[in-house]
Amino acid sequence: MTSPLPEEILKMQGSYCGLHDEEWGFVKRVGRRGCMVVALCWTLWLSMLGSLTPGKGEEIPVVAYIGNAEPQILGIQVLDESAKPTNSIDPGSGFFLDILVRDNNTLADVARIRAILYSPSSSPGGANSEQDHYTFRWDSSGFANEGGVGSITVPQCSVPSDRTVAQGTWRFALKLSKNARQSAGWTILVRVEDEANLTQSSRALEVTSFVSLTIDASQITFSGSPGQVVAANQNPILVNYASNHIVNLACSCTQFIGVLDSHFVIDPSSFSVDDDPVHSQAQETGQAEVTLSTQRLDILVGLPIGTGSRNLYVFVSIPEPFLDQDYRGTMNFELSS
Amino acid sequence: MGGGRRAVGIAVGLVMALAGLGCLYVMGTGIGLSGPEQDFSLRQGETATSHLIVWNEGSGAETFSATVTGNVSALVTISPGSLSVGAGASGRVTVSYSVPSDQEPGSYSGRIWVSVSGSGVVPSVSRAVSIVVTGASTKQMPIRKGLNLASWMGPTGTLDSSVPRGQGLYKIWKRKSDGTYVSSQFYAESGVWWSSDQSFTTLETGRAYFFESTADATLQVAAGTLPSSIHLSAGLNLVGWPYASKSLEQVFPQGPQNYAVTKVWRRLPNGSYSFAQYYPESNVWWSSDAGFVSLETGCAYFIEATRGVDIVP
Repeated sequence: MTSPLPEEILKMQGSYCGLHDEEWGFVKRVGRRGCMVVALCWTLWLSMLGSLTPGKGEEIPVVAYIGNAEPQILGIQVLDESAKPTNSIDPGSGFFLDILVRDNNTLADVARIRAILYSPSSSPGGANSEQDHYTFRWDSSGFANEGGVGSITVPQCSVPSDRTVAQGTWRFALKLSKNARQSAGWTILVRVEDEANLTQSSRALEVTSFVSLTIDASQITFSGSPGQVVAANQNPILVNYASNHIVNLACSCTQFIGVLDSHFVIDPSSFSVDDDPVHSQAQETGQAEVTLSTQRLDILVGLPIGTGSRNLYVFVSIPEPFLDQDYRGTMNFELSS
Repeated sequence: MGGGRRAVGIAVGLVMALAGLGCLYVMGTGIGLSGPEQDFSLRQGETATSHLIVWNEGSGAETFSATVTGNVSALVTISPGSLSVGAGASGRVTVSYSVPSDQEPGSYSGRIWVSVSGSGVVPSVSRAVSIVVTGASTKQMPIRKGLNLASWMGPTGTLDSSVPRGQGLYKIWKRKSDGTYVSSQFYAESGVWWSSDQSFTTLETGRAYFFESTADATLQVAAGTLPSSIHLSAGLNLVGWPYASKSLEQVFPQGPQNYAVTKVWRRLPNGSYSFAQYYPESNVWWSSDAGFVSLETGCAYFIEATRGVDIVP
C-alpha cells in the first residue's frame, strides 16, 4: 500500500513535472508568506486611500497584539578546545557547547537555557553526578554550574551580542570530570525557555576514556643475602588510580643486571608482586601473588570506575650462589583497558 | 648478614641500593591518558588523524614519552614523541595513521604506550590500537532511467570531478535545509555541471540526492569516507543511508519515552512512496509495505522527527 506523500515530495514531484527549482523556490515563498504580504499591502493601500481622501479621515486607535512565539533550537554543536566541531569530548578537557536559538519575539524573550548532559546510565531528570549527569544553565543572572559537578568557565562563555534580533548563539565553555563515564551513548539535552514556552532538543555525544596511575615511589630497593626472599624496603607501595571505565593494573620488569659484573643478572621471574604483605600463596588473602615477566601480567583485575588506591608488595628471590654487587633494572606498572 | 653470606643490593631505579639501606621514600610520579578510541578502518593509501591527551598526575613537572608496539607500529606516528608537562597539567599528542597504497589488507593491532621518561619504577598507561586495512575499493550505484532517489556513495567532491560521465546522468537535485530543492545540470556541449545556485557545486558522501538519468546504468565511483553520524532536525529530513543495511529498530534505538523518529518514507520504483511508522504504544515499527523493515545500503529516505537527534550508524 502506498500512502499520502509528504508535502515535500509532492513539491518535488511537481518540480519534476516542469517547474524549475527557482520557480519552486518562488512558489514556496509565496505559499508561506505571500498571503501575509498581499494582505499587508492591501491594508496599507486602503489606509493611505482613506487618509488621502478629503473628509474621509478618521483617527482609529490601533492596538497591536504580538503573540508569544515559541523559541526554537536550530542547532547544538560541540567544539573541542581548538573550537573545531567534534562528536566526542575528552573527560577533564575543556570544550564548547554552541546552542543556536531562534525566537521570533527576539532573543530578548529567551529567559533560560539549560544544557543537561547525561550518560546511558542516567536520564534527563537523574541526579547530578561526576560519572553520569551534568547540568549547566544560563539565565538573566548569567552562566552557572547548576549541577555542581564538572566546571563551567564563565569568562569563555558568551551570549549573542545583539538580543534585538531573532537568532543567535549561546556558548557554554565546559569541562566534564575525568571520571565521567566512557560511552558513545551520552546525550546533550538542551532546554530553552521564554516566558511562556519551553522547547528542547538533543544530540548524541561520546565521552572518551580516561585512565591515570600514580605511584608513590620512583625507586624500590632490596637488600638481602643469596637464597633469601626479601621484601622491598619501600613496601607497601601505594598505587592510586582513576578511570572512567573498568581497567586492569599490570606489571612487567626487565632483567636486573649487575653494575660491576654484568654477567650476573636477576631474571624477571625472581620478582613477584602481591596485594598482601605475606610472600606465600599458602596464606593468600587477596589476589594471587604474580611472578613477574618481561611481558605485562595483570596483578589487579577489574578495577572499578572511579578513583581508588591499593597497597602493593614487591618481593625478590635472590639466587644462590650469587655475586654480591648492586643490580639495576626497571619495573613498569601499567594501567590499561 | 648471617651464615657468611653477603648482602646483595638490588635497585629498581637509578639510586644505588646498599645493604641495610633505610626506606627511600620519594614523591610520587603519575600519568593519565584520555582521548578517543584508536580503532580505524582504512583503505590502502588512506590516512587518518586522532589525538590523545597526556596528563601529569604527579607532584612535579615530568617528561613523558610515547611508543607504539605491535604490527600496527609501522602505520602509526605520534607527534611529539616526547613532551614535558607541568604538575596537574595536560599535553596533547597527535596520532597520525598512514596506510601505504601497497599495504597488505588485513587487521593490524598494537598499543600506544605513554610513560614517565626514565628508568626505575615507571608508571605507564596504554591505549589499544586497531586498524583494519582494506583494498582501495570502488562502490557501485545502480541508476534507472528517469528519477532516482539515492545516497551518493562516491567521495565528497565537486560535481565536475566526482560524477561519472557518459552514462546518462544529467541532473541532480539537492534538498536544502529549508525544504526547497536546487538542481545542477550537466551540459554536455561545454562539459560542465551548472546550477543557478552557486552553492551547489559538490556532492557529499552519504548525502541523499535525486538523480535524473537518460538511461539505466551502474555508476562505478571511488568509495567515499562515510560520515560518522547523521543529524536529523525536527520535521522532515531527506537522508542518505550509505552504511550497511540495518533494521529500523537498530537504526533508531528509541523507546516510548524518548522517541524522536516517527515515520520513514521510501521511494518505490514507480515513483510513489510508502512509509513505515513508529508506534510508541507498542514500541514497534510497522508498514503496510511488508518489505519495508530496514534501511538499505545506497538508498535514501525521508524521515520525520519530532526533535533534533543524531543517528549513529
